[in-house]
Amino acid sequence: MQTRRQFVVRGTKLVAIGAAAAAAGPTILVRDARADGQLRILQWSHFVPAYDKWFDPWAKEWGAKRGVNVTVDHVGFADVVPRATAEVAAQSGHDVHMFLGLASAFEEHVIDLKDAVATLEKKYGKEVDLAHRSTYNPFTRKQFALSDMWVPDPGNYHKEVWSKIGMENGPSTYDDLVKAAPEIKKVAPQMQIPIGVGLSQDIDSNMAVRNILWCHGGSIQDKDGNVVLNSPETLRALEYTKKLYSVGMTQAVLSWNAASNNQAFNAQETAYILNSISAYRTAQDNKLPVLANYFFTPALKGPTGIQLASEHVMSGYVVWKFSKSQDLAKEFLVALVDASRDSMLASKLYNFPSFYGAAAEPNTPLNKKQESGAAWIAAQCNKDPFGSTPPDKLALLAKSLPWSTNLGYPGFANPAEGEIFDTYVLTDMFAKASTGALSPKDAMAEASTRAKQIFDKWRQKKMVPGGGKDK
Amino acid sequence: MVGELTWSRRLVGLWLPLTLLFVFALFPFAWMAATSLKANAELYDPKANPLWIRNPSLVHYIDLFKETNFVTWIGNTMLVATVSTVISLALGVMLAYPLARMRFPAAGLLAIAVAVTYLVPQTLLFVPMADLINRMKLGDTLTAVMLTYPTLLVPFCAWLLIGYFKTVPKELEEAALIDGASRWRAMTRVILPLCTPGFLSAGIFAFTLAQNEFLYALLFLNTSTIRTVPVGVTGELIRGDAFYWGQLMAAAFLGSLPVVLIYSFFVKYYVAGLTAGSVKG
Repeated sequence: MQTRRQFVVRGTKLVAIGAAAAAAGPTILVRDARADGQLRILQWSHFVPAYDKWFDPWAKEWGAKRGVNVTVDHVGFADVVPRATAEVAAQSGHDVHMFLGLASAFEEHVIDLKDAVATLEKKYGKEVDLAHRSTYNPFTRKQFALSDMWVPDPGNYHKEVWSKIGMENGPSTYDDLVKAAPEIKKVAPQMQIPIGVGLSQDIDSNMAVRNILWCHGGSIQDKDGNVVLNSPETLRALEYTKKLYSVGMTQAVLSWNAASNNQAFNAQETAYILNSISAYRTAQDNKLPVLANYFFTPALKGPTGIQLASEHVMSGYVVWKFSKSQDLAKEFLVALVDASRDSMLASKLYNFPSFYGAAAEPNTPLNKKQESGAAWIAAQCNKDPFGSTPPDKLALLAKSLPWSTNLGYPGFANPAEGEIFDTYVLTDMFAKASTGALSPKDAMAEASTRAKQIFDKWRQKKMVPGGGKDK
Repeated sequence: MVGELTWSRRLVGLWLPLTLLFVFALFPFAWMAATSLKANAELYDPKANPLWIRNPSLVHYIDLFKETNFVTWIGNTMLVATVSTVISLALGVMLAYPLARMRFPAAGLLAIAVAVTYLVPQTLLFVPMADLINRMKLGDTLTAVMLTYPTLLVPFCAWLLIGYFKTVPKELEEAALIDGASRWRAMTRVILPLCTPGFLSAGIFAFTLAQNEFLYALLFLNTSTIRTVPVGVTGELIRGDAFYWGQLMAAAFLGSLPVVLIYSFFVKYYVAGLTAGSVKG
C-alpha cells in the first residue's frame, strides 16, 4: 500500500511535469521577445488605422538598417497611462512609451531628452511653443518627453442647423452657445443635446472644461506655478457652464466617454462638439448623412476676449530610466521627427508636426524651414488630399496654432498638472457645479483644495515651482 | 403537495416572469448581435431601432477577420483558458482533497488561507507578478498568462472542490482502502469519478474567468498575434476616440459563443456541482 508521503510526492511530481509541459510548449510556439539589440516601443492604436500600417513597418525598417530589432506594440488610448504605471512599478517593459496628454506625471522615471531635442532644433529650428511647454519642465530643467506631433482641437458644427438659426458660420463665442441652444431645440428637435460638450471623466471633457476656464480668464496655475484656481474667473466659468448645461445639454454628457461626442455628432444628435477631425474622418469613411453639413470653427472666444483651445492630443514620447537601449531610443525619436511629412499624411492630416521645420521643402535654409514647413502644412489643409468637399474644409486647421495651447497654460506642463488631469479634478468641479450637486463656489473650493494638495505633494519632491502665491 | 395550477395562474406565476427574465437576460446579446449586423450608416442613424436590422450586413464580421488577428486571438484565448483550467483543476484537486478528506493539524486554517488568497486583488498582485515574469524572461509570451492565471484560479477551484469532496461518503474510500487500493488509486478510481459534476462546475468557472481576464493579459501580452480576445479587441478596435462598434460587437458576440456552448452542453453537471451538499444533513 502506498504511504501518504509517497502519494504526495508522486502527485506533486505529476503536477509539476504537467505544468512544465504546458508552460514550455507555448514558449516554443511564440516568438522570442528577449533577444538583445532591440528597441521596444509602446504607443496607442492610432485613430487612423492607416497610420499604424505606416508606422510599424517604418519603425522596423529603421531598425533593420541598424541591425536592431524594433517591435511596436499598441494599446487602446485609455490603457496608455495604466500601462505606464504598471511598467514603472515593475521597472521593466518597453524602452519608449508614447503618451497622448501629459507625460509629466512620470518625469522622475524617464531620462532627459534635451540632447535629442537640441539635435532636432539644429536641423529644423524650434518646436512649436505648446509642444515645448508640454514636454519640458523649466523648474527641474528636464526635457522629460519629446513630441513629434500634436493635434488641433477645433469646434465641429452642423452647418444646416446653425444656418437655420442665423449663424451659418457656427458659433464664435461661448456666449453664442448659450444663445443658440434653445433655438437649436426649436429648429432641430431631434437634436437631443444641442451643445455636445462633455462634463465627464474622459479626455475630451478634460480638454473642453479647460478651454472654458481659460477663456473666462481662469486657470489652475499661474505662469509661475502658483495654484490660482480659487478665483472670480473660475467662478464665472462655472456659472457660465451651469447655464449652458441647463439650456443646451442633458445628463448624458455626465457619463460620456471619449467616443460619445463623435457618435452624437455623427448621429446628428448634437449640433456642436469640440473635437479633432476624428469624427469627421469617420463620417467620411462611412459616407454618413451628416457629412454634407460637417464644418469646423476655430476656438471660441470667452467674455474676456481670450480665444484658446487645448491641443486635442500632444504626443509625448518618453524613454524609461530602466531602458537598456536609451541611445537607440533617442536616435529613433529623432528619425520619427524627420519623417513628419509622412506621419501627417499617413494620419490623414490628424497629426500636425511639432517641429514645423521638419515638414519643410528639402534644402531649405534653417532660418526658412519653419516658414516652409508651415506652407506645406497649409497646402495640405487647403486642399485636403483625402477628399473633403469643399476641398478647403480643413483650411482653418492650418491657422490653429495661435489659438491652441498646452495643458498647464499659462505655465508649463508639470507633474502636478499631469496628476490633476489624470484624476479629473476639473471635470468633477464643472460637473458638480453644473448639476447643482455643489454650488459653483463650493465646487471651486473643493477642486482648489484638491489641486493645492497635489501641487504640494510635487513641490515636496522639488518638481514643481510656486506655492508662495497660492490662492 | 403542490396542487394543479390553472391556466391563468400558470401564465401569471410561471410564463410571464419567465418571459420577462428571458428578455432581460437576452437583451444585451440581442443588441450585441443586432449591432454587429448593421452597416455603419445604419448604426449612426438615430431614427433606427437599435434592435431592428433594416439592411443586414456581414461587413463587420468580414472586417474583423480580414483587418485584425481575431482568429489568432480566439486560438490564443482557447489555448490559454484550457491550459490554465487544466493546471488549476489539477492543483486544485491536490489542494482540496487532503483538506477535505484527511485529518492533519491546521487543516481548517489552511482552508481559510486558501479563501483569503483568492481575495487578494489582482491590482496588488500584478507588481510582483510582473517582476517574476520578467525575471523568468517570459514577457510577451502566452506562457506568462498560463502561469499567472492559476494564481487566481487554483484557490477558487480548490474552495469549490473542498465543498464537493466533503459530500462524498468516506465509507466508499475506506472500503477501497480495505480492499487493498492505495490512497492514489482510491482517489482516482473511486472519489474523483464521483466528483465529475464538481470538476465541471469548477472547470467551467475557471475557463470563463481565464477567457475573460484582462489585467494580466494587458500587462504581459504586447504583440498583436500573442494577444487574447479581451486585450486584442480593445487594443485594436478602440482607436483614439473612435470606437469600431460594429466590429467590437461582432468580436464580443463570437467571443461569447464558446462559453455559451460549454454551458449549454454541461448545464446538468454544472448545476449538480453547484448544488452539491445542499440537501446533505
